[in-house]
Amino acid sequence: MRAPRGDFRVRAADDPPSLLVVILDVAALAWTDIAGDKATATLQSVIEQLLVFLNSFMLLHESNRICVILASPDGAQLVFPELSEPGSRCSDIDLVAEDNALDAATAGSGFTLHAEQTPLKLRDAVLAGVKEAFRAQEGEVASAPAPISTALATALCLHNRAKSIKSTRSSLSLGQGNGQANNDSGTCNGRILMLIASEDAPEQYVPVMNCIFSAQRMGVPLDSCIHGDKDSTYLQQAAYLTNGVCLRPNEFSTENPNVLIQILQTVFLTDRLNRDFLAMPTPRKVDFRASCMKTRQIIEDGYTCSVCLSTFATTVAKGAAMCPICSARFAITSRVKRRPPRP
Amino acid sequence: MYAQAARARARKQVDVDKDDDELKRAKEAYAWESSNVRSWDQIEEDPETGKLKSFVREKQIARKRSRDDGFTGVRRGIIRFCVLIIDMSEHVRATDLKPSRADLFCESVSSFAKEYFDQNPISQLSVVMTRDYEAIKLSSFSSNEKHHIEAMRKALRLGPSGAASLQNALKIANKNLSTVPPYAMKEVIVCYGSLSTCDPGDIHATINLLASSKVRCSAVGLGAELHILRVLTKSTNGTYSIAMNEEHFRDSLGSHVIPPPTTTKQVSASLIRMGYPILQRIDEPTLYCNNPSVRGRLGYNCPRCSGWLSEMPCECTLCGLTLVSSPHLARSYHHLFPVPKFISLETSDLDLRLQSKEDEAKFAKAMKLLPIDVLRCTGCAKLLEKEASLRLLCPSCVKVFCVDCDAFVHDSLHHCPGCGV
Ligand SMILES: [Zn+2]
Ligand SMILES: [Zn+2]
Ligand SMILES: [Zn+2]
Ligand SMILES: [Zn+2]
Repeated sequence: MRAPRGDFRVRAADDPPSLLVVILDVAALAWTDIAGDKATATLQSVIEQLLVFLNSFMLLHESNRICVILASPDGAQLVFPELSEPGSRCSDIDLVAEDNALDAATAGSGFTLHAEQTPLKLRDAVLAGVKEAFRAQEGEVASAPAPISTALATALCLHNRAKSIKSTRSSLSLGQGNGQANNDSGTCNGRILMLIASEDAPEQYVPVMNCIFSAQRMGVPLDSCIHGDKDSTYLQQAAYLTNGVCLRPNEFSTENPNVLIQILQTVFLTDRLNRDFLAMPTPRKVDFRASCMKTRQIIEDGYTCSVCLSTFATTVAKGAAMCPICSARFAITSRVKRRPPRP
Repeated sequence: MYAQAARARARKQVDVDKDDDELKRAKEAYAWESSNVRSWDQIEEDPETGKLKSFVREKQIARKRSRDDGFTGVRRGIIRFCVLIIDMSEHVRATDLKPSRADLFCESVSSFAKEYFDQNPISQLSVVMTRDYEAIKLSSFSSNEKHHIEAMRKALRLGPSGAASLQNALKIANKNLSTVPPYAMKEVIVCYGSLSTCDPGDIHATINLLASSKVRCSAVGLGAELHILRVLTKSTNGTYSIAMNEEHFRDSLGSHVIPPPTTTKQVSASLIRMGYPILQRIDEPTLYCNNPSVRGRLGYNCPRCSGWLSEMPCECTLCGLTLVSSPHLARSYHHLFPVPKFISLETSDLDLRLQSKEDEAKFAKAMKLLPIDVLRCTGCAKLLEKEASLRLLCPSCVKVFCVDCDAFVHDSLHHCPGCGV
């Protein structure tokens, strides 16, 4: 932990606003696995605590902005800011005004929503969205886990939009002495927080990794809080590669779901700049093991195809004449000459 | 005799003219030759309403078209062993490129190394410098960008001197590349500032040697084209470009970051034995095997011999197993599972490649979207009006996207936010 800088007060005033995209897992099956009969009650409690957290986040900076995405087996749904469906009841002018509001919401400058209205709106929007998502899942017999990659990709698209608005704004207002606009326009000051109940799905591996690399390039930390009782390899790697935090709070249980608020407030409230000054939880281990592309089993050592870099377990690779993924023919090399060790 | 030589020269001339590169370069004007760009010329008034016409849509169409060019479905050499040859002769002292040619080389190579390892994480790099009629290896093959950036700093400290020797540098590069495993792509990239080379023997023999050992040689030159570099790059299937200014030099070098296309003849495919260890934090600081002067609590255990290592990717110093982490490999998976190109939702002749019943359902879905005036982008929720902005359709999930999301999805994200449900 480093000592805070001397000009702390000046810096705090100059802190740029941030955009926080929250992804809430609403897969009914996953919550039932965790809490059994109390699934709805537990999720209700998690949402209440999340709303308190979001309101405290809004209080940190007058231009801090929030988007909430629900991840359900049917895909990702942006529930806040509330958007009406185009083409139906509203006139086009309303829609354009709304779009501008979203621009302002994601870029976080100039436009201020009515302070006393936002928490209520947020609450209504999230609760209505969750109810809707649960209703949609009711009919399905075996509902799948939520595809995290879809929600993550939508969240990153929102960050990309915020970033492009910000960079055009700052290029327009250059030279006007506007301190906030030319504040690091290259990297957007945003974060993504995932509240996840589902377990890792092997078919999600490639899309999730692609999202992680994109977030890494954009400088968006991926935070995650896991409610299930299994560690998530994907989310651990996401946090490690993007300087985020991945937590699976042991204290959280069906009997005592109210401990979540403490974790949210103490760990996930701090932004990227201030995390340097605090002792953030560090992972005990990050699972970088590969999974066999054929059998889906996790492997610690195995074979890699030199053309497509697919990984295979030893049993699959033995005697293979052709790559099962990219169908490249393997040359029959008796032995690869090893390079002499470096001095 | 004379006539024959003249004919040969003429044929060569035609060959050079045919070169695509050459033609492309001839079309590009120098900055001082191009006409002034006046942004107000692009604005036009609508005669009926008196409002300014929006050119956003035209611009978006142009951008989409320029992005759609380029190959897909080409086999690329993903595991690369690349030798960078840096000219540090008296000629790079010149300050025609700011701050000086030598500084430009060092700065560009450092940023090249960073991007190279971002895009090709399990590839390796080595730096060779030539000056004073000889060539020196500054860094051996490794996947750690710090080694090469340090090597470039060393080159700058030594400073430019004497004349460059291309043959000596190529010989060292060839020797380095001779121990590379057969599944790897072998490459040489020459950054050359001189207009001459001072060689101890027949350089054509060295070039033939490189060509026969399937090394792909490319060059980025300064000032003027050199015949010997043209011969080198042509006989080894590389590319050769002459930088017009600093920016162009960076771009030309940067174009080598993307893995080059290969053929089976050039690089043989094989399965490589690898370990994928777990990153661990242990209670007691322990000496690292690969760096025996340092202790640490954060590291990796080799799955074969349990050696304690500090960084990846590397080769285990105890048992020689190649160790990588799965994210290193996953970085290139988007080449394997690319997002389909988005098609524009404008007229009814949508290029959806109808093949099955499923595709017909997709087509019907797309047809329903077509007449709607205002749609919302699936990615960023931006409103897309029919007249004002280009609307694009993902052919596999039939959802609408804006131009910005199209660029973002294909260039950075490599995953469609509408697919995968
Ligand atoms: Zn393969
Ligand atoms: Zn070992
Ligand atoms: Zn969009
Ligand atoms: Zn799609």
